[in-house]
Amino acid sequence: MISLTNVDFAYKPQRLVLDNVSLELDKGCIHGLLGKNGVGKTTLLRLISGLVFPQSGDIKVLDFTPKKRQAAFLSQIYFLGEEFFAYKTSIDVFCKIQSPFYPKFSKEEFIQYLKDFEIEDLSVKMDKLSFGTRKKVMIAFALATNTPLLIMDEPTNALDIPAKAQFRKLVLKAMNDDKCIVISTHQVRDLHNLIDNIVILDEQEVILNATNNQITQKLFFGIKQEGNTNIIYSEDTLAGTAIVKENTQNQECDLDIELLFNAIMQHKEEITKLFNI
Amino acid sequence: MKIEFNLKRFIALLKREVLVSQQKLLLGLIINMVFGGLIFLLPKSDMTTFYCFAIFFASSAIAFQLYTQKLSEEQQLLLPVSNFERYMAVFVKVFIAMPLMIIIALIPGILIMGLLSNILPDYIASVCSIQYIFDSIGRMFTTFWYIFSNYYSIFALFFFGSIFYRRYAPFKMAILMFGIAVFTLILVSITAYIMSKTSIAGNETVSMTFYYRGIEIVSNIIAILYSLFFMFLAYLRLTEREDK
Repeated sequence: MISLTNVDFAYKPQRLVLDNVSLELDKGCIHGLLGKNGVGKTTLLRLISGLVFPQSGDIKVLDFTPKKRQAAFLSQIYFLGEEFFAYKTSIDVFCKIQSPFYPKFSKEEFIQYLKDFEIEDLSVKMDKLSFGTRKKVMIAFALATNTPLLIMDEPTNALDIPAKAQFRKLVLKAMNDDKCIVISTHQVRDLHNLIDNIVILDEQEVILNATNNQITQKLFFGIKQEGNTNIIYSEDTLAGTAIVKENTQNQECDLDIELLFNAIMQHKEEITKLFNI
Repeated sequence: MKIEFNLKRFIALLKREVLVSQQKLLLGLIINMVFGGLIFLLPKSDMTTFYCFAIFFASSAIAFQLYTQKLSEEQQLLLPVSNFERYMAVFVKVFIAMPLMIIIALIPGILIMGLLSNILPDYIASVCSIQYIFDSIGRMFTTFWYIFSNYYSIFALFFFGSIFYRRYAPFKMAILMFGIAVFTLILVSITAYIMSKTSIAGNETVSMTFYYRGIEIVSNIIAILYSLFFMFLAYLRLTEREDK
């Protein structure tokens, strides 16, 4: 669904944000794009949606070239940025003016998603809402567009704790085999039990692109036991010493995204070697 | 360069443009009704010419304003319409819808202000007879047409400037316009001089008439070419626009 080949991008000459990035993202998955602040997560999403153009390399999204910004392409993607334009209209009017451009938009679903976020009054002006509530409206609209590709940049920022849980539920509800959802965040806990595939960006390149299963087949996440060998990374927690080690015995375990992220930041070469990157 | 155009989508886009800025639009029309109504009732015509020029100038100089701020630009660029539809929506708004709406608002504006002035003391009431009010409305149409037909190339240039520069576009375009004016003047003078030389040699009166006629023709041709060129450049600029 999304294919990037040897993509270079820089906002200023000689200061590359993305250097020779190649990446494939398939449909039927929720992809989590992780990375430290300023590594180029947002830039990557903006390249995919056609807001910025690569200096070199090729990008194909749903068989379109995003740079061309064809209407048929834009009607199949929805990009929800971390910050967004504050419409001075009511929620109802916002829906009226934006929805005609998305052929699969469902107003019933939009209203239901809003209700799930405890927003009932559609006559309230968007610019009078708090940023968090406005974000809920935008998330509800994004999900209701039913576009095959949904891109969300830091969607959980500014959401309260119940709304974060609700967000996870709604994304899972909206997901199906024909869709591809890409969520970028640096708050990895917010994506727990939500994402199927993890993409980690660091130092202008993709250092990991693997499904949860692939990761747990190669790496074991757990609490340190006596006799543990091949430990790649460890950190102290209240429950004991959490470890990431090579899964040589095909042990079953739950993926701990935060632990994985910390491990890969400190032992990049060791871990990427396991995934043949 | 493949151009996509879908009428249904385009109408939805125009509706969106109106609804997004309906408050500003309404306020603008009311201000126009009051001030425009008063200005067109004034006997001196200089103010009306300036007023019409200012309206066209302001709307073309900020035509692509939504593309100059990061968040609104993102919204505009991601809207599922083609680049051509996006461009045409701004073009129609600036050069057709806005003047038309202002004219429509000015008709009742002039009428209301004219009739209101009749409530005032006699010396004003005598100025604002019904005949005078209708004459003012007629003058409004001719002034708008006069301004547009004479200065369209300036508006086209500022229209381009509003997408080309993100900040201080009108000022930057004013400098550019000065350069273009000097260049055009030289070009026109040379062409007209050549044309006058090829006319009836020795007959000074005919030659001078031909010289001025030549200037007019060449100026008009250059103005049309400039306008089309800048309009096209504005479109290209929009297709290449990045939200950086």
